[in-house]
Amino acid sequence: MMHEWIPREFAFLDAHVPTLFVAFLLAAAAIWLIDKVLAAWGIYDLVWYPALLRVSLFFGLFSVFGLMVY
Amino acid sequence: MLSTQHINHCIQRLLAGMALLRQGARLVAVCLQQAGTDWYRQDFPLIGYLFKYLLAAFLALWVALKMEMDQPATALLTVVIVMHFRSGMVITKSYYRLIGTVIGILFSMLLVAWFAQDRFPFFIAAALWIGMCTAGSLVYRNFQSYGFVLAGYTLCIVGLPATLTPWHTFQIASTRMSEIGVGLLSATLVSELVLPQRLWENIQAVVRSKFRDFSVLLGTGAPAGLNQPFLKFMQDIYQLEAFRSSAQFETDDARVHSATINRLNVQFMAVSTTYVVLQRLIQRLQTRVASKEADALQVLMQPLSAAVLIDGQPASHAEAITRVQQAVAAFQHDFDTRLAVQLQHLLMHPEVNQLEVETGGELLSRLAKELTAYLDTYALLVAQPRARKVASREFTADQLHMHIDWLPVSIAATRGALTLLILAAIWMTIDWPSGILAMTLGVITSTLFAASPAPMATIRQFSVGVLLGIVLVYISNVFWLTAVHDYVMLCIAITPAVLLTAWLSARPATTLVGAGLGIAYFLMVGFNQALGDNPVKYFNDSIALMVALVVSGIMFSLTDYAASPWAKARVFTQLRKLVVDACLHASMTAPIFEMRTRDLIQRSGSVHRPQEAESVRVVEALCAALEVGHAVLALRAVARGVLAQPYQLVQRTLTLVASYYKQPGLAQQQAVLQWLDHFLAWLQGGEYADALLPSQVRKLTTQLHFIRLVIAAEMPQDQASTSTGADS
Repeated sequence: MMHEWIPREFAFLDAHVPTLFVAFLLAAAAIWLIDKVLAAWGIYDLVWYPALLRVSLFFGLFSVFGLMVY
Repeated sequence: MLSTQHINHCIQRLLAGMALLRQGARLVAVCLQQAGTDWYRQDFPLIGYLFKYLLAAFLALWVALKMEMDQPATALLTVVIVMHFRSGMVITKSYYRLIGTVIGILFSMLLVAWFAQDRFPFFIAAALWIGMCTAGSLVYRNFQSYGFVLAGYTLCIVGLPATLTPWHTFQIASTRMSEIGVGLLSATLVSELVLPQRLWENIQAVVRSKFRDFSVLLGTGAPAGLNQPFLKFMQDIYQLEAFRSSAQFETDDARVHSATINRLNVQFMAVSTTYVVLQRLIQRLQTRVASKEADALQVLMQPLSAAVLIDGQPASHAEAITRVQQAVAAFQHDFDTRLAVQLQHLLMHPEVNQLEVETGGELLSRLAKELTAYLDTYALLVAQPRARKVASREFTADQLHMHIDWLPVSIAATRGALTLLILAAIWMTIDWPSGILAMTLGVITSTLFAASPAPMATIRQFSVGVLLGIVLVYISNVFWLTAVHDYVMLCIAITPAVLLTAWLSARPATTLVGAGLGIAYFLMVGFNQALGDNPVKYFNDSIALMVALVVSGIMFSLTDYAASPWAKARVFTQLRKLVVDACLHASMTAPIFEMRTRDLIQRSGSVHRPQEAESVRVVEALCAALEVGHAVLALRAVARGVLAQPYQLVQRTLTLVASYYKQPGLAQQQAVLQWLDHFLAWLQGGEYADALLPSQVRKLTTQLHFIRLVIAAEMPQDQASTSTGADS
């Protein structure tokens, strides 16, 4: 499984950084891209509460990335 | 015994009474419903906002406490700083705050690494950094300017504490970063998810009201003078730009339409300028004794005025806008024939100068063209916002250009750096425990208010907020926080301050009071390392805040650039300089000239005080500069297509006009006017008629004549200024 070879912490310039933080940044970047695509296709016109969709997508993605680590 | 008649009578009266009652009840219900919708529209958003504010603060506090962060108050302070009525604005503000904080933290770590052992180079480098941040906050608009404020402020909350314990720098930096991150996340999450207030409605309202005002102005003329409406339009343009720049993180239509809104703004600038220039031409012609020319122009203008209003009202829905568009297109279509008819008609009056009517006609056809473009974009934005997806791609209208005047920027930078150095000197010489807090507030005020048009009034308002905050901190530290023993009670203890901050900052008149209150309260509130009250620290901190305000107030009053008469004179000089640039520099195009001129005036602060006599003078100067600048640019556009010899003549004209605008003296003016007369005579004489096409001759003639009119009209004002100059 992935979590067996992904470390939970790594050293970045001699500072310990939790991998979860990287997962957070990755999820944020991914959401930023997905959000652009959704807005360009007009998906948000069909959604009742766009902000909720955006936030839940982010948390879903972040959880997926997080579960890869743990 | 009751007769049946009597009973019937009673029943009838009963029925009538019941009908009356029902009617009354219905009336009450309607009134209640009306009141309810009014309340929902006006007061409910404010209550919702207060609720959101509280929720965000509690969430940030809970997370910060749960994660056992050093200073949960920093997370709360972050929430207070980024909360805003509109959701999109919160995200944009947070985004720039994050960037500013990260850069500020990196710089703090560098600074500590370089100069931790010696305070003098440390403070000189810090002062340079603050100076740079102040300059940046003045150069950029809206929330980008905010990023610079935060980059400076972060140095104070990370770099300065780190100097006391340099070996903890990294830890301090990472905890501050996490606290700020918690604050930003709670603020954005809450304002996105709970009762979001969308920007798109504001944008549409501004766009519509701008269109309505302009239609009315076009349709009815400007009986009360052009300056007030023109200032109002400028305000609208920059407000729309502020909304637009915050819309990039919105989920709704605002983001998709960002380019369209920008284009609309640029087009609106063009069309409003042309209208003002035309009106000024007509007014100038009307001041003469026989104003046949002005009458002719007004007759020509009449169908356009009639076209923009439908039954005396501005167009409000899609169909009406289409009708206006068609009417303007029809106006454009047969404008040339109507102009020819008018000119024919005027042949009967030999005293009339045909050239003036032709010049006006040229302007009028430009107005119609620009109006068409503006109407197209407006219709796209308002009437059919859904049909945009393909159309909005092709818009590549560039950003609103900025006009940066380096003098006030460098003054502000020096002010920021000096404020920091003075406070640092006090801190070092008297070994004062709260020096860091004083420096923090000093830096916040000198960067945050650098762009304020009236910094003294701003500082005064902010100080009121800080004083309120100090009083509130005393009450909550001494009476409330000492009684707190769990999270819920802590929430209750900070609720009054949070609510008061939210309420004050939601009202436009007291926004700064709210900011001062929030910042002072959460800088000092007593639940960072230890809960509760420490009188020595409290008094030291309050004195520190006051000293910081006094120092930055003194610095602002010493270097109040915007209020000095010198700065006002400089605005006029710079307007002239822009006209000179328009004459001489090939890179200047009409939209860039337009935007830079307007940005200069916007930054001079006159837009915020439309009632003052000074502002009226500034707007007059702006209109004059726009008028001649556009004529010069149009002249250059025509000259691009002509042969070498006439081209050189145009170049000579431009040089002369430029030298007049560089040094507005009587001699230069006479030189320009003589040369223009000469050039016009040459063109009309037809001596070199084969060198130019008739249409080029016509265009050159009208533009030259227009420039001549404007420069000749400047005479009285100019003499007045030279004579007062001689007197003094």
